[in-house]
Amino acid sequence: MKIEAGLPEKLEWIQHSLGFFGPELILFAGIVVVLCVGIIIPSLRAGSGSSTPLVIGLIASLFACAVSLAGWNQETEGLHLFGGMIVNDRFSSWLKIICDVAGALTFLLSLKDQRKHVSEYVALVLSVLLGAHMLSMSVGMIMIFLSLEMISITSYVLAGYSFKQEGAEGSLKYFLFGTASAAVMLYGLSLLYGITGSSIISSQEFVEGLLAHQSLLLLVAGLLALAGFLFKMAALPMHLWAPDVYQAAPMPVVALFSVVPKLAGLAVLTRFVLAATAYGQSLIDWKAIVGLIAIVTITAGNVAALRQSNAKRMMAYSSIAQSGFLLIGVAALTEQSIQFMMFYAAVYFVANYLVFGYLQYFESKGVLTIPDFAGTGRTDPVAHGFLLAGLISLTGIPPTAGFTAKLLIFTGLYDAYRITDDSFLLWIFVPGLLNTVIALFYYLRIPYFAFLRDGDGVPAKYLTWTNFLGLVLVLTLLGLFFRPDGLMGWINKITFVL
Amino acid sequence: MIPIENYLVLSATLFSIGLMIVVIKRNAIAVLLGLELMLNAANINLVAFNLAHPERLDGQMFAVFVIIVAACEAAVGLAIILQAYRVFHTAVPDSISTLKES
Amino acid sequence: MIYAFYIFAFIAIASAAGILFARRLFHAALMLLVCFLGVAGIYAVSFAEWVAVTQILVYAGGVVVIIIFGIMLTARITGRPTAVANSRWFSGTLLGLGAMGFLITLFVRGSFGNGVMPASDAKFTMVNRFGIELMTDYMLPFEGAGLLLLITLVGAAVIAATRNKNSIS
Repeated sequence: MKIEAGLPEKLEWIQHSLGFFGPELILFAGIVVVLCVGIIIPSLRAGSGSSTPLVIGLIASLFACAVSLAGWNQETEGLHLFGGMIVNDRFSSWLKIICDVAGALTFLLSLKDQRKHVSEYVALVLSVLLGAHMLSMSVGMIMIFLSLEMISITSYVLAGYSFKQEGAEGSLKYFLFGTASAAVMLYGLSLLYGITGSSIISSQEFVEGLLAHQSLLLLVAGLLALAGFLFKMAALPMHLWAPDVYQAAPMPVVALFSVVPKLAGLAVLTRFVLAATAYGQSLIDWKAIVGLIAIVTITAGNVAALRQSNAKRMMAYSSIAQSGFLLIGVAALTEQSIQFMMFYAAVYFVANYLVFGYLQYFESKGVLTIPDFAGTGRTDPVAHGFLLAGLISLTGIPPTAGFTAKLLIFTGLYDAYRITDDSFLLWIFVPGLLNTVIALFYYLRIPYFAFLRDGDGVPAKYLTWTNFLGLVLVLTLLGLFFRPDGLMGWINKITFVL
Repeated sequence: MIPIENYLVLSATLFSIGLMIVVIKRNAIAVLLGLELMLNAANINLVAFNLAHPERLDGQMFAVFVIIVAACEAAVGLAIILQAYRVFHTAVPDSISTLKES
Repeated sequence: MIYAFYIFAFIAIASAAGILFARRLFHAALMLLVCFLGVAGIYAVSFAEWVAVTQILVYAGGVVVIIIFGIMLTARITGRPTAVANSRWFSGTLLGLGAMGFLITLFVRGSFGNGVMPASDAKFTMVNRFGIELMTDYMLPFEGAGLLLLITLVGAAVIAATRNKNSIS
């Protein structure tokens, strides 16, 4: 057989690429090992609980995180791997680190309520992480679609992991909505491929193709593609699944859903918008479109959250609103605003896990709806103190890092306004700030009921695993408020090029 | 040679019929049929556009991967639909509503 | 070749419309099979013979069979053939026809400009070129698809394994 020209170079590129693919290989190994363990250990095979797989998952995700951290200083600029379909830069490394830590915390939260099919559970969570890793690096359409679907398909299963009635319903609705948005996104991507002739969104060819075809068709194709990314972020108008799925899924899975797919979707959306604006030469104002989506998402999420009485549902709408705040960083689209968005993502992750950790703690005591919290603050002040810290961080009040993060996001927006003089940025600014006030009302409803209403209360223990985890997270939030420069110093090294 | 517009009209038609099925049909399996049609419409686009850029196989490769992913989706999806059917004795998503706004 | 295209396109569209109007779910699934075969024919006349083969093997041979299994299992639970009820006829038809009209207008008015026309030297891509590219340029998605299949298997098994446990109340 004739050997194709350039074949040895291609193989060498693959070999070279594998060296920068460490974290993903570790997660992959973790999936295989945990599945094998599930087969070998008889008690696991019978479906009963054991925490061995969770520990393996914990080790795999922390190890992957460590490898990402170790590679941090090598990646001064983006490396194109595997035929250019994937780019490994600090932007993706940062999100990968957050996702890995989120995965590790998910396993810690899962330790408490042993579920059936533990080893499968760990394999599925690890593949959500792997999908998020690949999605945050993807620039090729094939990889974007494949890794997005890897997250989706595993999420459909995880949503039903309570094995209760609600779980079946949550899975079903998530599946139908997710598949529909994937089909719509795929149609958009196929049109974009046709318009530009390139399937790699960071390539010169793609950007030039976009510039050559500034038409209504491009706008339609781009919006269809955006729909899929917004679905992963649970942003409007693709947010309808979130409340049902959050209410149905077990708490560690909800915490995972609220962070990992959202950040991976944010990464691919950022890359896509950056390519679509074509260095500011595009006639279609994609930044304004994202800004509009951001502001509508924040408002709708906050207003809907006001009416919820179930704590999980309230947090679902809260996470919708928070994706709007993240999108503001994309709407401004300066290097600085993207760095601030990364800071916001880190703080959001810490605060969200803190809140979900305590919601799980109270759920195990039978406290489900917000009125159920009445009186629990007096019997369990420590837990409620930590929960309060998480909630005010999500609102954005000092002295928590949430305040710093919101301040930075809006600073980035204002600076972008001064540089580009786009008046729509100002239109995001004012409602964005007003929404922070609205958020105050629903976030503080749980502390209000807990401390100021009379109720039965629950027996409290102080030396619990949750309180230890909570203490660490609260100290992180406070530390990032008083000394944000350490983390910002890291984030400032994220140089974002397409 | 077949003009590219022919492919696009065919794919737009299939996509729209798929969309109509998704909106109109109440049974979850019927909705799944509509979703498969929408994925097929996108695949027709991909294969057609690959004709204009024959130096790389991007479009055809993409279509093959879409087919694989669609098979995975169908497998997981039917497992989920069957489970919902066992629990609720219906495959009509609209009439399943234990999760509500409250 | 253009006549073959029209014949396959007609088969695909007619059977797709058949799904829309079918009363029985089983008939709709069979229509889907015909539609998939029609689309495979389109691929075959578009120099994408490998995609056509995959379409027949995976879609017609795999997905449709799974769907028919699903239909038969749901019918077994109730004990009668599943008829499909329709709702939202008006909004659905409006949305579908609107999308069709809008997209076709966009496409036919030639927004694609001059760039996209089938190259005249397009020829059948040999399967071995496909194989080589799959193991070089497209190696990562290839491996990723393998992992996805494994995870799908695990996921579907987990859902199915809860069948006879009394966990679901």
